[in-house]
Amino acid sequence: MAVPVTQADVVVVGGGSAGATAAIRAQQDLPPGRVVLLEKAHVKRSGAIAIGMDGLNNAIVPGHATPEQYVKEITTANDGIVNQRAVLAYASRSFEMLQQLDRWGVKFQKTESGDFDVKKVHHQGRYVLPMPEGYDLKKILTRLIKRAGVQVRNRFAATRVLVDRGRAAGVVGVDVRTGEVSAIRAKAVILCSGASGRLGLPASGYLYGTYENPSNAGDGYSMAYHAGAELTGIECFQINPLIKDYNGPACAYVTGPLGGHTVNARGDRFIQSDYWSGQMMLEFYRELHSSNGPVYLKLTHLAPETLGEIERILHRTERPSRGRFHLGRGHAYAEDSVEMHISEIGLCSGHSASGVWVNERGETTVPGLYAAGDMACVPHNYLLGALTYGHICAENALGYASRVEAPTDEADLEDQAATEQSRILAPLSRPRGVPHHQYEFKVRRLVNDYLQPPKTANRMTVGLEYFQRLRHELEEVGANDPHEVMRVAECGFIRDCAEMAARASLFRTESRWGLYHYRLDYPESNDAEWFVHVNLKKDRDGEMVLTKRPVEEYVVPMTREELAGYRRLRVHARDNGAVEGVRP
Amino acid sequence: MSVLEDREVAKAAQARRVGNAQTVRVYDVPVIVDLAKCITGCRICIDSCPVDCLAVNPETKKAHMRHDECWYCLACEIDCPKDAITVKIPFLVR
Amino acid sequence: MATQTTDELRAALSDPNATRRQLALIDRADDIGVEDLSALIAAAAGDTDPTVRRLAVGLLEELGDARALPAVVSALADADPGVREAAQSAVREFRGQGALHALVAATVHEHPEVREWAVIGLRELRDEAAMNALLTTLTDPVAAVRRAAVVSLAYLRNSGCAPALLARLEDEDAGVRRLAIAALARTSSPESWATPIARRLSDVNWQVRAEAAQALADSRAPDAADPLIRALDDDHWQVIKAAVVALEALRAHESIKHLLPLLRSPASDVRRAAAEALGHLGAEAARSGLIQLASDGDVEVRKAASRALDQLGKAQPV
Repeated sequence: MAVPVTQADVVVVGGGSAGATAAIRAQQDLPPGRVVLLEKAHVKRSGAIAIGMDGLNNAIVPGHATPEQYVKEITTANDGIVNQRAVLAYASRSFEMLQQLDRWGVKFQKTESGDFDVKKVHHQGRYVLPMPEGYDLKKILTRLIKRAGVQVRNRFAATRVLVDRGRAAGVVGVDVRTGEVSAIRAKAVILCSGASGRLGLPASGYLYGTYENPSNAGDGYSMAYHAGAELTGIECFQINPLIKDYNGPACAYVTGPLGGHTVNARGDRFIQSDYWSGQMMLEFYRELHSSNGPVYLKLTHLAPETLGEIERILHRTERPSRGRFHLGRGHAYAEDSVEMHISEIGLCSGHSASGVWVNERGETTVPGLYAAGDMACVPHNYLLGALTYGHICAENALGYASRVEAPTDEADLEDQAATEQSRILAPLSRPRGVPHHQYEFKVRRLVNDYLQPPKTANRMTVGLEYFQRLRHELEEVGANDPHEVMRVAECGFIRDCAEMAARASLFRTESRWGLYHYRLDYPESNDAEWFVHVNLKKDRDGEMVLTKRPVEEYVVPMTREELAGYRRLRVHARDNGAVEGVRP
Repeated sequence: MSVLEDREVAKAAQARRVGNAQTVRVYDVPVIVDLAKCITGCRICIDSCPVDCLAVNPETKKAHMRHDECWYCLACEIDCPKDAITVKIPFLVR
Repeated sequence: MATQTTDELRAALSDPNATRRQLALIDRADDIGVEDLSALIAAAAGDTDPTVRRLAVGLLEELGDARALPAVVSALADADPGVREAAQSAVREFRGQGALHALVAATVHEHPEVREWAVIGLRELRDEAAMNALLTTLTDPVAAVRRAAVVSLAYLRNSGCAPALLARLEDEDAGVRRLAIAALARTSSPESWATPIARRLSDVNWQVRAEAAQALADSRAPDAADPLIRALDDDHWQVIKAAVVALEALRAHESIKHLLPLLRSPASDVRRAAAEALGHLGAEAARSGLIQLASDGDVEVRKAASRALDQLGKAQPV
């Protein structure tokens, strides 16, 4: 059966934040319908911020912070290993995007005189801009996508990028309702599929009780990998402090400015780090496993009026069901501190620094292939980074598409689509095969067993063997309908991410980024050998190969003192955190 | 080899050939739809769900949670025009 | 999904069965266009079923056409809370001259919730033409309207509003007083408000007192030091903390002896703020107190004390 083809100029994969601004921007310069936006769910409720967001963590507003200051903070928070140009590109255009969002009607917290009400949470600049009414963010973005004339395909899960002699030529995917496989051909492909959020298994054992939107299953990481693009920082895991069991964010960025504290079991604050980083998570981890644990979010010292304000924000946007979670446990912020825990591991460049390698134009190493948002490595870029880079990718994709010729090898592209169709639909021939959720539980449990920090080569090597074995076991998994076809495809993405995480972690024989890549067998940082990016890609033989990529000379110079800052913090935390059984 | 060891070797080989068997297992699911309020023909919650776990129940012709794959995000509950949906925190989590 | 035409929608909206009318709007949602405006307006204002009215208001918000405003405005006074909530969301999405006139007219509506949300709707328009209407709502009998009015006026950033805002410092509603303090501090020069806001440091409401202290940090008014020092005895740690920060900002060295005991406050955020202030003020007398804080249970206090001691090391003793 021939795979039906839609022609477009630009195809955007993923209709979350990055995908929305990418599609809107691209469509501005193109005839209606020539931008196709593919979303495996529905754009009105898709992506990491399906229910909105209660604030921006990294807005750079003149008068409160400068782009240079921001680049320095990110460089420090990420232990020096950043593509500063890419971070600076975000920082320089962040305010312009903020103003655009404001004009579009997105509601940011403003002072009584109508200025952006930026709060100080970080050590140097002020970057936090609350959005207590961020619950209507998706409504506004959806409206804009529609008004722009973008051709939206909801319930369509892209699974592979089409490649024509090393250049992106479109995507193949499956309609999650009808089960029909089709191809979208375009000269430029912008991947905005979000984080790898179903990698580790949550402590609850509930597969979908993840920190990230579970639909963000690492699709883009896998797609980019199979298209031959380089990924980077995969060993720099995302590990977040969350409300235990509920597994939602504790929202330090919301509660912090309002006076909330992260404390140990004695009720004392203990985090030495001044900014969100793997280093901070290592301190958190140590306290959790010490006699001072567990760790709590403490709001009991706040006035009833302030608690009301916190509830109005937290129980209406991002993860509003936390209200009923606390009530179900019989807990109230006024009397009870909220127990916190460490999340399952994931891959994400919104909060951490792993993703597809991109430059300051959003270009991956495959011509015509762009990436933005949580899946594109611009460290700690969060929501505003996703929105800004969606825009940047679209600008550049338009330029690229206008310059290059359309691919000519139709036969090969049809072949790729047909091969992919067989691959995606194969599970339907095994209706009594292993159900996807059992396969998934197994992969993710093994991820926990063998990749959860603190890491060791011995454990990760054993894990890698299992992940490779799981490649064969995937062929036992069956599906009975299009929904399950999508789930089995996701099993493939998850397995790919697990293998990438194992190999990248094994390759970097040092510790860096605090808990994110903490190795018991190489507990020190080794700048002499490892002040590099660790990149991986699929070579011509289909093997996963790892390389070192030098860190480019900084465009925002750091003083020796500033660079030493993060080292000092690590030493300090190590000395303070010596705990039995956890070697510093 | 003893009888026991022979048996294990033989059964391990057989295990690779015998194929699959399945059972039906019941899951308590988080999303509860009030059938009195739910409008037949409205698909808002099914369209809203970020994880595609809601569908029309062929028996009642109204919405129900088809897969225990809930992110307890409340999209369905918030978007339902009839306030027909109650989302519980999943049992394993609450 | 069946796509209806606008005529089909209009016909469906006169179906006696409410569920069918609801479905008609649900089905049309993805294709709604300006040709549906009059049908939606009629449904929002006149349908007997609240779900239909609520859906219609939501779709009017999607269209964003200011001709819908009169219907949205009356929906602000709907008997059904769901419809009112939809209207409250919608009323802020309209822009332009048409919106301005409709919203200004609504500021004198008999229903207080309508007046309140009309004032909120005017906020992002930031149009001076609304100023007189907003000034009138500053003395509305209902506090919620006055609270909204303070902020919407302040958005205009017109220092001519200062006298009217100053009058609100004596409002009977604490929320109004608090918002007025913040509005004045951000839109007018301190000479006009430093003294009256300093009086609010003895307000009955702690949030007003805290807001006053925060505002005074930017006042550059030496007279503010005495009332701020008195505020260090407040029963709310939030007020004490704000007063400490303000005294530091005012470089009020005479407050040092009053700040010293705060290094032992039961509230960790007060200990932290006091340590920071004493460091910035170069208070040599604080040295032994700061040294003791090296063993404070709270890391933020320890960090602040350590930084303050660094500063004392660098500065000339006071």
